[in-house]
Amino acid sequence: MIRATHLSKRYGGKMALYNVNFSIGKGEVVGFLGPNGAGKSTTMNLLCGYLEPTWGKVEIAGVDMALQPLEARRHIGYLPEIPPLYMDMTVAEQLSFACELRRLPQRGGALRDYVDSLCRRTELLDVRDRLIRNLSKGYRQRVAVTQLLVGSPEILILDEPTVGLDPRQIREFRDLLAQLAQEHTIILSSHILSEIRSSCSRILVFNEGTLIADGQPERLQEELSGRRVLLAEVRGGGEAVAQALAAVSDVLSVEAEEDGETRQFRISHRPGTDVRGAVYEALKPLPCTLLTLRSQEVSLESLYLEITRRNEEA
Amino acid sequence: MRAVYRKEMRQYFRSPVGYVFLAIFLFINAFYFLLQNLLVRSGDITDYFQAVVTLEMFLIPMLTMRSFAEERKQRTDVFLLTMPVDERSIVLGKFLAAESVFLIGLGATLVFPVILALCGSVQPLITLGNYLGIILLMSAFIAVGIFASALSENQIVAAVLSYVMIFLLWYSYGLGSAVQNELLLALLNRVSVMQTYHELVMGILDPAGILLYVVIAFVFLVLTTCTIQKKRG
Repeated sequence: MIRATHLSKRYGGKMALYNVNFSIGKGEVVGFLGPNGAGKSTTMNLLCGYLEPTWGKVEIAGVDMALQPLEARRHIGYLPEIPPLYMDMTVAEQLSFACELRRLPQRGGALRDYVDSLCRRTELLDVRDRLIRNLSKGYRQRVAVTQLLVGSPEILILDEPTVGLDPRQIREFRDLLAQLAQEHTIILSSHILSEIRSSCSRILVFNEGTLIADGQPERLQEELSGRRVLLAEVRGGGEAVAQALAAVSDVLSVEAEEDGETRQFRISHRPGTDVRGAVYEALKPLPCTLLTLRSQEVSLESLYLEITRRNEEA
Repeated sequence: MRAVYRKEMRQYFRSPVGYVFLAIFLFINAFYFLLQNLLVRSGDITDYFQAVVTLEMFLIPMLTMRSFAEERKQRTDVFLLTMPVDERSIVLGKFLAAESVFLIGLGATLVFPVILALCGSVQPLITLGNYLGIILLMSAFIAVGIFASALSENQIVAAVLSYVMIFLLWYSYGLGSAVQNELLLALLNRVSVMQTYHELVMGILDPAGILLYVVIAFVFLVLTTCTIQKKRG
């Protein structure tokens, strides 16, 4: 559905994006992750045709953006970080304008019905005749999202769509996104990591204008940190437990933390290995009880912090 | 193009811009008609047109300064430029909308030759030349204003740029006195916007003069389109 090949963008003398390659299939919900200035928004601007790449190519549904920009843009709905709305228009006028730009065949009453159906879908009917400048931020965002749906483009690109929304509005937006994901290919960027985690099945991680990782959230954590983590809760056994765990094959490090009568061991091991059996066997002869043994849940927060830390160190 | 045109027209009259422009435009025109024709009992409409043109052309940036500057400031240009619409249609839609507001104002001044006809006599060819001249001249200046608006996201900067470009185009004739080279002098006079306008208001419908205004408008609209395309790159 989307293919970016050797995508690069230079602003003045600075490379904002360098040699980015990826492809996104139909129906995928993909999250763009990375610190500010990593190249997420630039990539989105290139995908939707707002900017032209310095080098490289964008193909949308098999159409080359550089050769047939109008045809390629027909497949895309783009919501930038600041919703592009005309404050002196009513909701219905804004949506009608989008319909006209997309050259939908509706006219007069049919156009009105189409706009109403869009408003009904996103619960905007109550405010359809109100000026956008008089709407709350949450409603404005909803108008901007509704505008994306005009003409039902297959691909929706949303840049930081929940910035400035309150928790209730964020929840409503997530519900809406879940609905949209059933019918559209979605690319989403956000600083709210839980949002990326809850909404996206695949994540592209950007850093300093390059794509440094691409995959499912669980696999990304391993790839980026170069290790997997097993958590073991143990009662008793003293210092011998840590020594026994450290001696297990493929274990890289062991960290212990007291938690009342029990201790929590954080066992880092090589990715692609399963050391649970070996850990169990190592503890069996010791005078201790293994209460729980589980893989640490993938934490996008730690992933994000790892990336930003590397960025700052560089 | 039609969608952009309709949106622009709606915005002109949803905000005070359209009304304020028309109010000032009509006030200036009525004032000069009173001064040049009614008070001195003159039936020559050329006096009125020659007097009013310099003020009218400095009203044009008021109409065009928000055109692209405001889109960029409000970030709505992202919306327009990611829709399946080419840049030429956007530029043309905005140009025609500004032109329409100007023509609404100018249309109201048609009452002046009617008044003159009722009071005495009107020379149809001279009147036609005057109206054709001002429409072509202002169309060229509207294109200049739209171009200036595409250069900045600040409306004031866009207006100042428009004034500078319009001033240079209008007064390029005056540069002739500083030029010694006869060939260059002849060329400057040939492409002088002011000289061409004075010929038109005298009823001289010179095709080369008409073409000059059309070319200026076309060149600045193309420049506007190129400017928008360049911002993508």
